[in-house]
Amino acid sequence: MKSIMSRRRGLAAFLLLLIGYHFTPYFVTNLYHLHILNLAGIYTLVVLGLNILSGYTGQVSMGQAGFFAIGTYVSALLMMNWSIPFWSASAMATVMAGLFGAVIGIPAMKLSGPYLVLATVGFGEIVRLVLLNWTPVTKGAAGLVGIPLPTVLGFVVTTEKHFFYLILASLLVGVFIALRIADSKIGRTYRAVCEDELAAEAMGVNINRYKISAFIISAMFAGFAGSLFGSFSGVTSPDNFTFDESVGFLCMSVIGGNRSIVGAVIGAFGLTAVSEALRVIQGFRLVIYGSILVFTVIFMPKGIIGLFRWICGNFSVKEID
Amino acid sequence: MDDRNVILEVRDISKRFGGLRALDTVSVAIRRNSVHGIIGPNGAGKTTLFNLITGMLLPDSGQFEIEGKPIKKVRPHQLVSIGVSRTFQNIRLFKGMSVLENVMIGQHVHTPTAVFSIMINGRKSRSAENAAREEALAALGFVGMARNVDQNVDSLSYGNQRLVEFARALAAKPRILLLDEPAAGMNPTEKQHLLRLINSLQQKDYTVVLIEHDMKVVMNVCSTVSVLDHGKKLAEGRPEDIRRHPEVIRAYLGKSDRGHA
Repeated sequence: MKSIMSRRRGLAAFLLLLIGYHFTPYFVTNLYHLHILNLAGIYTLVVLGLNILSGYTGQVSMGQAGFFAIGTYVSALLMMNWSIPFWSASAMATVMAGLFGAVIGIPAMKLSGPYLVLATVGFGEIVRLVLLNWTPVTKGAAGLVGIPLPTVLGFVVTTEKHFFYLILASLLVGVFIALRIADSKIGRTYRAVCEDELAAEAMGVNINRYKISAFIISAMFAGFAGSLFGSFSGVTSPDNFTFDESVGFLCMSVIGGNRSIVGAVIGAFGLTAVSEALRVIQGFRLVIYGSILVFTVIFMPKGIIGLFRWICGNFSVKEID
Repeated sequence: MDDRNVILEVRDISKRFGGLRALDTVSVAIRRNSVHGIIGPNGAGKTTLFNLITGMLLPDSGQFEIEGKPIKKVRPHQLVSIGVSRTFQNIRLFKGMSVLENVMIGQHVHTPTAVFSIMINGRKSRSAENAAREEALAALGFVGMARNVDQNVDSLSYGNQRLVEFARALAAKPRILLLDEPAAGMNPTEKQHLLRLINSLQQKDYTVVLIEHDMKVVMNVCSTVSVLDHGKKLAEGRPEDIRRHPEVIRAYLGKSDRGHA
């Protein structure tokens, strides 16, 4: 049971870190930096879902930008056209993304490896093209302008600092839910399905149900993140949801460590920071991105969190308990 | 044979793979609370029979009955609830997971998946998780692996991996346990241990169906033996009789003759 104890301690440290993170706006006064942190927080929500999908059940998706886009557009359009309040719109967007997750998950349960990747790439592109061409509703390439700001308990969220706390709160809830899923019977069954479908089935696991549910969960995470993203940005267009975006999410997932919830947080924040730092050398950005990814896959397939655990396991003084 | 005593009946099962007739109208009746051995040379159709019973393959013709009820179009995962679980010839553990986690998967159908309770870490999910852990530990204790629960299954020896797979199948609480070559790769001491386990299972009211190459294992634990060769049932009976059965001797020796040609 020692491993569980040390895991608990790791989790506690992680939660402390998150709470410490609360005070960030008092140190980071540069609005641009705060903006990047907020974006990273939103991306983390997407990557949390993606880790459950690709890390736990082994279904690699390169179409998360599609679910993210559905979340953004559904909530934005609900708020703009019917003046539905942010939280209701956000909830509906999350459910809608989840429905699309089921629609993709059903054919996906028969696919694996490169075929599944291609199918999800196709889904992401279809969503983007529909947004681009369904002009009467989505305003096409021009996108949506003037997405209303969220209201929390009668309080309108306006500044970067306000958004910081809104996103942080959402992130805490998201991390908690993802941890519960990962750490429970559901997460264990997901991993079993990933390791050996046949054996899991022989033990009574309805593998199709589990594979689809992972798709739905990941889509809901992305959809909710999308609804935050829309209100946070105020404007949106199909350009925000390209294939590159999906690849970016997958990179965050893999680099952070895709079979770990904490890994999702590390990957999303780390890669968002790197990507902003590299904005000055725009042309080389994808080269460096790619190199990091290749390096990760070859030398630390379990991501940064895997490396971290390896270091703790090998160099720590024997634990006292 | 007395029908009430038959727990699993295989009736006229046939299965072809292209031109290969893997099983040809095979019928086997497995009595309750017996250890039933299925032997035969390589390629005789033994594992195919297991795959058909567990729904991983669909038969071309014929049917199965469990306690007199026909099982048709049952998906593999539903069979655990009916009371059948199995191990695999080539060990199929969940790699990268601990011994305990592997065996807890065996408890899958016996604990509720309370989604909402899991989200809030409620009492229902915690008690279900504890129950699954207790059952898994009991199964591991039974096979003698209680000390290795937190170890990763990849780091276990071959024989111990077989024991964990055995425990996982037991954690599914089957009435009928299908063991596909459980002694393969085990050393003599481990085999002795396995024989004792299978014997004590019989006393605990399980029905065990066993595919095995090791004649010593078969002769020691099986109450009935069915011999398959080239997809056909050659003989069936008590192990002592099977050993002297001329058809069986020919099938086994014949195989080694061809092997030299």
